[in-house]
Amino acid sequence: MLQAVDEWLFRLLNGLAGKSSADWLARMLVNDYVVPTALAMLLLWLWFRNAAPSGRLDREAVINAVCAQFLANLAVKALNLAYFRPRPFDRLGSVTLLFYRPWDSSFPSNPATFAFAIAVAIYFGDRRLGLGAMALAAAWGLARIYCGVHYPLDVVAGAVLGGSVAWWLSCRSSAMEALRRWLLDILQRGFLA
Amino acid sequence: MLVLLPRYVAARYFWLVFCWSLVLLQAAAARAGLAGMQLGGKPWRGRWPLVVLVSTSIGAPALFFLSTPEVLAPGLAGSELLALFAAGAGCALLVSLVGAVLPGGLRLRVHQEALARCCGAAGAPIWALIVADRPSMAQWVPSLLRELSKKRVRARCLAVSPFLPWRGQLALLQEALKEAESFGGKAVAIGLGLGSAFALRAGQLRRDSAVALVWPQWTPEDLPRGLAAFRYADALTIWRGRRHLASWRDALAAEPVGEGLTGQLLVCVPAEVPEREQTSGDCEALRVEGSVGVVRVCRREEVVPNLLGWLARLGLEGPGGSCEDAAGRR
Repeated sequence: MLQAVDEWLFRLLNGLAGKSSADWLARMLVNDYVVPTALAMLLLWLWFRNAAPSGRLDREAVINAVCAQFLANLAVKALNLAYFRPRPFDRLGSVTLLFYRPWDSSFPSNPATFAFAIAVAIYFGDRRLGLGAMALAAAWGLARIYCGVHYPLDVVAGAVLGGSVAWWLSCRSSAMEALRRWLLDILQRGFLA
Repeated sequence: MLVLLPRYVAARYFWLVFCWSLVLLQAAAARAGLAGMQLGGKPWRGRWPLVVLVSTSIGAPALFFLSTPEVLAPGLAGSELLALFAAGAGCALLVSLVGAVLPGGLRLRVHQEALARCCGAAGAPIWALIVADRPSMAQWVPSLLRELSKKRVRARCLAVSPFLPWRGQLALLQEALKEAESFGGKAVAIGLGLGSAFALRAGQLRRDSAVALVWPQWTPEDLPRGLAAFRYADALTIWRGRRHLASWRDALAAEPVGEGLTGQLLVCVPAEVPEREQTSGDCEALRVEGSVGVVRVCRREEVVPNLLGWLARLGLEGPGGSCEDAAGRR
């Protein structure tokens, strides 16, 4: 049932591809360069934009984001070892593919995991900037479906996985709190934080 | 292992990251007031940082995407992208730091010479002694000097830095006060930012001096930490002078502040400065110890008019001849 809904949604979104100038925007978003770089730039901005003591929260969010995407990536790799889901263009017929053919498992979406791990970590440092980052992450995920490289469920699972790791590191992990404090104290002594 | 193929995609990605990071770092430094990270050591003013940042954030990736159709084909691995990003952003940071060091020192020297010409001409009577740190120097001193000059108040300006020796700067202060002694009239010490610590000491050393403090910072907690150091100096100065922070810290912790102040006192706190950053100094303590103390919270642009009003009430307007006139006569 879930798979049927997933495939129906995929066909709905991918069915729009190749028919309009939205392809240009989707291609710009779907690649491995633009959105990840934009998210990394948000982290750079967050780190340097406020040098006052109140800016410590921003820098904590950056550390959370970096750790979250690292941990979330490890989780994706582990999941990929346990479960392999073929890409839509390998399984379904008549898929409009606007991107190259990735060979790794479709589930969960690695880009969605990465992007939402960063966006949710940013959200806990700065709500407005975090919402912007989430919108960017969601656009990236949608573009992956539109271009035919992921099912909607892959993107949702990636978003939940990345977001959960970021939430846990930002709000629940005491070890992470100690790591943040230690790291920021060292960087502060070197005039970098 | 980094293969970085295709090479020209890697090169273009590096340039994308470098240019984007450079603009972003400059905009962030402008927002945070980190003059020591701004190219040329000159702050961006107005809406320009935002306009340039938004244009670059849209334009740079669009240009990269349009000029590199290979982004839609298998190319650089994730680890390679990470390495290129680190290299591009690292280079942008390095350029920002070096770009602030090279002309920044020159600019500061020229600025100080200009101040000396305007207000510290040898033998000129000193009415007001202005002691300011670098952020306050940029923010208030030029307009304050202009207004003082219009009101025919003579001024001497001292720039202080937490990355220069505390004792050396104290000696300069005492030298300036000796000049005030030779003038014989009533002197005013105006401390801005970390200069407040020196202005208070001037008030203690010369009992009848009136003291005005703007955005007062006189406790060890007010000394810059981490990135905030770039508000006060460039990377080279910070690196060379980092040991002096300890001497400042000891001096600010050891010496009682406000004790022995008998003259008029004004404390001006700009309202825009967030609560946490205002000052950890105890304004109330100063108000009690100074004979007549006024603590004012005002807008940034109201600081200079407040100071001028206070000076006028003290009757400290000069007898005639502006600073420029004094310099011209010599």
